[in-house]
Amino acid sequence: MTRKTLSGWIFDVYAVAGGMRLWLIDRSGKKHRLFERFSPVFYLGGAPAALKQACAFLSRLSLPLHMKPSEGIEFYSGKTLPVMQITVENPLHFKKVVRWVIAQENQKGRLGKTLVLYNADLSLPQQYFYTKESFPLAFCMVLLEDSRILALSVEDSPWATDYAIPPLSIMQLRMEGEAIDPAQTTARALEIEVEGRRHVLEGGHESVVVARFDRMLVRHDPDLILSEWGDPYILPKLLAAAARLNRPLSLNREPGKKVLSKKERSYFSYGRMVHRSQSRTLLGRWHVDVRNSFLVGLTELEGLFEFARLSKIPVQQMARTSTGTGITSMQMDLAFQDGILIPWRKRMPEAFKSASQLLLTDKGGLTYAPRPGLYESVGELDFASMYPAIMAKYNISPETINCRCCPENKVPEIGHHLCQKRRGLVPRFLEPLLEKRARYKTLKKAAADPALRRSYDERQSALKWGLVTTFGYQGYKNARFGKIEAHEAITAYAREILLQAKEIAEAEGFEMVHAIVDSLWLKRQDASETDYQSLSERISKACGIPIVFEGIYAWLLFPPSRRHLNLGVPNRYLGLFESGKIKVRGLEVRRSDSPPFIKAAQREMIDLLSTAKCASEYQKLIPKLKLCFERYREKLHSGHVPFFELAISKTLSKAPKDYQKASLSAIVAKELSGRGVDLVPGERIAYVIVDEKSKVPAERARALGFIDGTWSYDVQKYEQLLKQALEALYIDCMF
Amino acid sequence: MKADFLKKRATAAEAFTRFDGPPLSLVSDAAGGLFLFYGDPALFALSPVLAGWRLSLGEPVFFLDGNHCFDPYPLVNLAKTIGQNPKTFLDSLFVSRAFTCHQMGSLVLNQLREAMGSHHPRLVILASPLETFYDESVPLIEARNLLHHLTAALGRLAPGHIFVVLSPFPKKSAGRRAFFLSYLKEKANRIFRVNRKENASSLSITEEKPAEQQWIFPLETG
Repeated sequence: MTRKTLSGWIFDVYAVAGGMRLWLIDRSGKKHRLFERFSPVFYLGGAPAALKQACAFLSRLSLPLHMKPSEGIEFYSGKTLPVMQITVENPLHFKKVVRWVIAQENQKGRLGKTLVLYNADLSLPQQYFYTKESFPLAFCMVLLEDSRILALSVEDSPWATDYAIPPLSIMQLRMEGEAIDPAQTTARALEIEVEGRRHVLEGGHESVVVARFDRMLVRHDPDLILSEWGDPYILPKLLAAAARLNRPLSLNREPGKKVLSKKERSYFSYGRMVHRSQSRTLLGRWHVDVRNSFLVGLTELEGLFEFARLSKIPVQQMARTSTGTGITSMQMDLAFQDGILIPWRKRMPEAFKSASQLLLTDKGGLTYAPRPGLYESVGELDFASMYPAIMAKYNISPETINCRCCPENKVPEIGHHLCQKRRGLVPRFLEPLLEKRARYKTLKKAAADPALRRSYDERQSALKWGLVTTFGYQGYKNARFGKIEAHEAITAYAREILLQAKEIAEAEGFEMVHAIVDSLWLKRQDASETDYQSLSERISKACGIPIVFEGIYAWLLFPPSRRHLNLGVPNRYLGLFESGKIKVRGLEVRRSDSPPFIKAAQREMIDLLSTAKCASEYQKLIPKLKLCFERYREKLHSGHVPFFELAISKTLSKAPKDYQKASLSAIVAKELSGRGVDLVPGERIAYVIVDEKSKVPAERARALGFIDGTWSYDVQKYEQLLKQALEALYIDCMF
Repeated sequence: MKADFLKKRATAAEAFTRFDGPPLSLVSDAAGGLFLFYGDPALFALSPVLAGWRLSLGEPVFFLDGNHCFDPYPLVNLAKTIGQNPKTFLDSLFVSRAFTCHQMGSLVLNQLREAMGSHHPRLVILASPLETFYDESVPLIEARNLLHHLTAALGRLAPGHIFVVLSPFPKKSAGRRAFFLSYLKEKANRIFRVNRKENASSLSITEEKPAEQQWIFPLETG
């Protein structure tokens, strides 16, 4: 038995018999496979008789577990409750024991009524990290006896902004060719990039591909496999082929263990269907599918690492989960450290309210639609992280809303009230997060190195998404620490604050051009930057929420609604700040369903417009826009625009067979289904319009992945889309 | 004061004679019980008439919403149609929304009795209570057990009150959970299947339990 110390970054953590496997990467990049004893814990509370029966049931199980009386804080009341602490010696038994207790109590109808479970559905790595006060990618020092951890000390903080990431070896996997979902196109070769070299594993027999891939895995032993469509396609295909050939793949570093898989699922979120692809995660090595990760898609690996460190959710899981799950984990961690019992399943329903009250409270933020037109000298003011700042300032949290003790502390307009005696869990969780984001923004401004600046930007962007979700989660059905009344209180304050800001601005002679929830576009003849700065200071002071002056627009265009030419559309605009920075919202160039060809055309037109210093110069550029339009129109008419450039991406709202009308999405979904592609609601498809007016529905649009040279695109339809992209850029339609 | 109230009540009751068909005719004579209307999603058009019937008599009504489907506008229109103050209607209809089956379970098993004790509604409407139970993230056995206890509780609460459950056909996404409807059927005193007529302007209501009969409900009035 040899004792030694080792320092490095926590790379991966998962449960094994008797404890946790912990992978550490040291400064030289060497990987260490370690073990630490760990026994997870959950609690049972409730009526003594039910508790006694549950304990009797547990003691009849022939599993090593310990029960002892303990206590914890009940989240809503803040009162200390007596509970029974159940320690499950082997973490691999934890889920099973909890499931048995639930089944037993469910049968008796006592669950949630006379028996309550706490801390019962924390994942084992989360519980391990909460207990040890460590986190994924934490730099730490361990005392070892052989490979067994005797002590671990964390020499890092999740709140640090200057942390380092371990040296990672990366292997990239994708299917050769254009970026099309490989399940929705013809078979292609597997492309692997590792250590700066690109390898294409050409077709041939699957045994050749599997053998070459496995050899490369063994030779390069990457820490991270970064794939495109690795979750739904590449890894399942490779694993299936390996199983057929009875040839194990060396994907896991943990010997003798299978690659972990999770089924795909579709669900409704914010009024739209979302699809979560199936997943394949590894042990001792990471697999991240950039096409199946919200965080990586928006904030790259830097944002993912930042979120994993803060949320204490291992990197592979964090990559595939929502920011909402991430912030919930941060809140659970805070509750855990405070001795608050984490309730199993959200069960507190909305309190009964009259329909009048419901109409009054169930509202969102305020919006003032803009009048369409081209404006000059408009200044933009944005409240910084408005909703989270409101939660922090007014102490809005599930346990503080409509408390029993402070009925006088009313929320404006809606009549709810907030606690003044107890600081809520959500505001306490938000404060350091808001502060950390502010620090990243300052660091980003000060950073001279572009790579460092980008890294700070990606991290602050990840935090921004977390903060945004914190508000939404108050109204989300599965949010552990969410309550619909808290959601209503936040929007009520936001409406009040926006109105207050509008009144202050108007009192100082500013005219409001547009406002949406937390942003105002204001105009006053000859107002300087200093005037806007001092206005924002006064608003910040009066409202108690910081508002930031974004800048003055040299020109700002609010295009008209396509249906009602005299109406503008909230959050659809194009403007050039006096600093030279262009800002675009809601136009084709920003829309995820616009064909790349249309986006490119509009981007080029916007680049042209960015040379205009004022509205009159803007108007003078219209002929140039028309020339640009003509150029793109000619390209279209030449018939040589690649299909990929014309692809329209759409999300399926239902399964292909459930479509009743022959919309283009329905037609293509059915085409793909006919080709054996399994599609579920929420999945994205890409298609090319070939003849929108064809009497034969199947000839109106074709799936991008299978269209070939026998088809041609619908020139008229794409010209119409091109024209719309042009028309969005000026008020008076000249065609 | 009391005379005024009685007069208003009589006027409202009179105004309701135009709704002498279903669904009122199916539930109004009952002293209590569990009435299940299931079928086409258009069945929610029945809820304003049902709620308006008790609201017009000055009684509170409970609306337990399992699918974010409470719509105040038909109720307001109904109040105007029968010459009542819409605000009075909206003030007396009490809504609670459940977004998960555990919330729905807690609402019925733990909160409802106490809330009924303080407001004394004669009519309780449960709109789409099964929707929350179709959520695949809750294990099937757990959802089934919870639903079993919920329907048993409804069975216990129903005598002396009118519980109307409006339950659209399970969506395809309900998958294996589509049989959950049978739990409600088992406890219901009367079961009505609601279909939308082909011309889409009316609903046909067919009684399945205890005896088979059919009625037509014009959608324009709903």
